[in-house]
Amino acid sequence: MVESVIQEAGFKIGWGVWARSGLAIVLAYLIARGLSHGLNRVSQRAVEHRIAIKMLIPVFKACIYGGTIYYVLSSVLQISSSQLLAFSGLFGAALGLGIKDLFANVVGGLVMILERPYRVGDKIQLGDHYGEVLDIGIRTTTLVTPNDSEVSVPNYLLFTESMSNANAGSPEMLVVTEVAVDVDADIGRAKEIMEQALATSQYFYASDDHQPWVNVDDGPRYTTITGKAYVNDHRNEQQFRSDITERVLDRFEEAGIERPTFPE
Amino acid sequence: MEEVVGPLLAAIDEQDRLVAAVTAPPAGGRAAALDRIEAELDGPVARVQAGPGVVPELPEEGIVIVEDCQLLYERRIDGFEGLEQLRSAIMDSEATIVLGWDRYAWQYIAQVREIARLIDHVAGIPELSAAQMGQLLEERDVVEGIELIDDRDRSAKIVDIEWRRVGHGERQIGVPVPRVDIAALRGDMAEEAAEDAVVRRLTEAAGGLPGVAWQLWQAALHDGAVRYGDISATEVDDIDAVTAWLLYIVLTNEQVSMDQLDRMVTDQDIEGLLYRLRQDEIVRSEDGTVRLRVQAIPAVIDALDRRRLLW
Repeated sequence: MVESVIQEAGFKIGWGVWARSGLAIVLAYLIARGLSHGLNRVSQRAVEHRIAIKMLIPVFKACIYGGTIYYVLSSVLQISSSQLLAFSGLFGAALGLGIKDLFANVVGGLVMILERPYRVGDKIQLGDHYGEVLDIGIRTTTLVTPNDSEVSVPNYLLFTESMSNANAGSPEMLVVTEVAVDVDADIGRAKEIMEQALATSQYFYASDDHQPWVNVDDGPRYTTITGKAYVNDHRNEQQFRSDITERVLDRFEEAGIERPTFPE
Repeated sequence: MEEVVGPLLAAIDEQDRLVAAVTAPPAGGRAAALDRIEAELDGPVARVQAGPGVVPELPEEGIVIVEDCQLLYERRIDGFEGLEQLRSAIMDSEATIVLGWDRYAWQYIAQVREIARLIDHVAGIPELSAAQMGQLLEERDVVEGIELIDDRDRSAKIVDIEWRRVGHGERQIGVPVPRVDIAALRGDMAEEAAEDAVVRRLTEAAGGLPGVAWQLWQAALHDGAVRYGDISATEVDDIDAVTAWLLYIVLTNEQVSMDQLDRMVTDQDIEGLLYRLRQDEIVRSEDGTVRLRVQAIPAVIDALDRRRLLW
């Protein structure tokens, strides 16, 4: 049935057309992969400009694939306005029949390109998923989780779920580290240790607008010492938190600052 | 240097009492700037040296220069005692105090310790431009009788094509990548004199640091001539996080003992790291003290800057 509709609409698709279309798509894929690989390599060498360079990848990809689609449709298939109308009818029917989710993802992808709620290289929470944005595709966004797993998150989640962006294009991001101490512990000393642990970490970053601070929250069973500081590169988030926690706990033990105990 | 030292001298002259910091990268001319300040000031100037665990005594009045304040702290928990003692001494004194600081140590301390609030004037010594470097060489009669030779290969291609393998595992293809030779492009575009080219090359390789330039100059000087191609700086390849941290400590402290390294770079094979860095001619160790090799300073700064350890 589809073939007859295509023939009625005036398409003349021979092997040469398929071959040229296929070649154009393969070439576009190789160029996009090569460019993506090259820009990734360059971005690894410069932390300061890493995200800016990585942001170029989806832009280049969109240009390459957009240009390829244009080439295939206009030059190879030589679509006329009546053919485009027929194609639109088919597209509408297909959309109604079962690709509405795909379409929602594509619209989500387009919104993302226009509004840029996050960029490649950002650390985001989208729905239940948290990680660094590795790639923004037209259908899905690929995240790398703290456990180094790649997760493809459908773009339509942008409309249905809350989204938080930890660094919004900057290499640095705020990291929160909490440690609990006994209610009778020397809170002043504990706070001082946390402050110094933050500021002496190799992953620490500070500027006039990015200062560390420490909160103390009193609770019935324990007191929480919360350190907040910026990590110099958000890829070091886990190492930063671990480094602070490890050194704080070591020093608490040396200083006789007791940790809370819970009844069994 | 005049644009930095001049305003500082004027500020000291205008005010009854001033606390100032003079900052520069290692081999960046800080000692020369402090010499100049000492020479230009009227009246007796005391000059004291800070050291690890050695907090200098400050006079109650007059003028005092404290050198190498970066040696007064260690970047670890409870590593700021010496700096706190200096802070107390500054508050107890009525003297005009000029503190000499490594630039990167100061940039860190200014963000995290309260001593920065006591400083009225910060004089940061900038890197030299090629013109300033040439002027410095002339003032010191370094170039007198020395022939400067531009021996660059003029036939070098400005744009060349390199084939690189791209892909994963066995699925790799060759991709042509154009490579632009900046040196050839510059040499082709600018008809600069041999003297200018050599001084420019020296300045670039030294990162604008006069102490580094002097070392590179001496290394390139053969038979009464300095050739463009003989001026080469040490390169620092991609380094891992632990090596970067160790280099950061050596750079900011400027000199550091093995005991200090043990306290700041914990749970790591420091001996092994230092062996590799010595082999690569990046650090040198003498009498248990580790320093950066002067020629490697610009490359280390660049590498640490890329890793965002320097702000």
